[in-house]
Amino acid sequence: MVPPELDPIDERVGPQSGLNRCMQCGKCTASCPAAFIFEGFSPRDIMLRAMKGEIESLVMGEELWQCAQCLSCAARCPRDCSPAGVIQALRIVALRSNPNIDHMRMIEDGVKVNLMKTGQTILPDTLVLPNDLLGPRTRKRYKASAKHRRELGYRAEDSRRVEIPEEDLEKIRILLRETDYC
Amino acid sequence: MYATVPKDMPKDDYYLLKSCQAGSWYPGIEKSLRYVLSTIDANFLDDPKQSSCIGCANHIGVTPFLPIVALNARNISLASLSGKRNVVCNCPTCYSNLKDCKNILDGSSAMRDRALKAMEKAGLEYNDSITITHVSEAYLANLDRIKAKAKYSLKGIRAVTHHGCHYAKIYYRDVASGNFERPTVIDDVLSGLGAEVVDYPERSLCCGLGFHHIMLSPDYTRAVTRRKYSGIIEADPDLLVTMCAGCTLSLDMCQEKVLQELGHKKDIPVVNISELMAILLGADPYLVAGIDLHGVPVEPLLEKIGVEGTR
Repeated sequence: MVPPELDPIDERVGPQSGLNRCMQCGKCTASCPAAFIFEGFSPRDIMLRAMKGEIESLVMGEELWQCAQCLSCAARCPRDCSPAGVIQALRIVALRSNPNIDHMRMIEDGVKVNLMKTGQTILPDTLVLPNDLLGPRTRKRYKASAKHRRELGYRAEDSRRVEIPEEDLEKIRILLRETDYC
Repeated sequence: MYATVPKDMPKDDYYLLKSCQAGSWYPGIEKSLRYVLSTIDANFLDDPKQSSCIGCANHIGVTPFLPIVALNARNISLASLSGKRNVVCNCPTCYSNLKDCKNILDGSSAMRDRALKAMEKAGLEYNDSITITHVSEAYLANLDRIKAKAKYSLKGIRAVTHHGCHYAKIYYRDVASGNFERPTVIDDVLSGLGAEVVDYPERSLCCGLGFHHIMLSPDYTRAVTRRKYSGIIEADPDLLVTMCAGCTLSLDMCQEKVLQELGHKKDIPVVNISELMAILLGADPYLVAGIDLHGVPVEPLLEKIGVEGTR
């Protein structure tokens, strides 16, 4: 694990982020549906700690992953700051430095495999809905979705009706490699 | 009112930006979109070369921004060189993510330089003369053509709408109708087709998906969908119309359990704007709109509209 620091080329912690002008009014936290639900989660507090350079404690914390990225904070900020954007950039730093988030690294790896193989981020089997969110009728209908996909002419394994041609996939792979992603 | 077509609202020559979420969860949304644009004779290109925009992994925070910008430099260039320069996004996250990437590519920064260097290595040239819109805006711009070809109307239907956060809240100055607190793009399309669009508390609240939340922190999804539906049932609508596959998934799949907990006995079909437009234009609700993939049965709505041939 490398010591945590913000990526200097990540635009989301650059001048547009508002890390140089947040006035701690708290409108973001008041607007935030995650703050309404998770005790202790506060985009305002994340902005304060990021401005003070407390990157290590931020990337080691659980709260970084509680934001649902609705962007209400950015839309309502009177100074056009984006706490959600800062959170996106911090999450990338956390992936490299927080040993306790293997579940997020699993998603990271899954997305990588999907992109390199098909040029798609999400495939039909990438997200599985937890059973206890669904009522009994919904569960039954959800289970039949692979069959109904086929009726619409879509394959079970791809989100595309027509797959990306191989020569284009090769270009996509070059772009992902040349940006140090894969 | 719906008659006001937003300024600079392209009505034709669309480059269809397909969504990996829609294609994975509700392929009928994508099939419907193609059906609608073909039926109203809007010129569009469905280019198999286009890649995913990686927007959802960008928000989950599991893919760095640089590869995302590079991949979208390619998508933007494909559209720009195709002659169909009005990119129409099926997904609000693609819409805002593409705008984010284009802003970076049109500016000057280390990230832009690195993304363009990768393009060069792949033998690609960056070409940026495109517009970026969401498909609901394309429907609004083409409302007259849709009305002229519609086989059914929404007269007598009470509808509520949910606009995607990534449509309304990121490029909040670009909302084509209404404003980011109360976007009315879908409302205008629906009322133009005869529906009574009603308001409800928590209209601008998140759908509850939160990308990884629906899998890893379902408490968030449960609490938010409950808050959302507490407001929606006050309006007692016949249907809920969305513009995003992710919002559709959360609000559709979680509804049965949430309404049961809230003691509301009537189902509220959740349909994506593309599915609804296709159905009104005469598409097969099963084989085009894919209503069997929905958690909440859509048939009661179809019966109210007078669509024949439901199972």
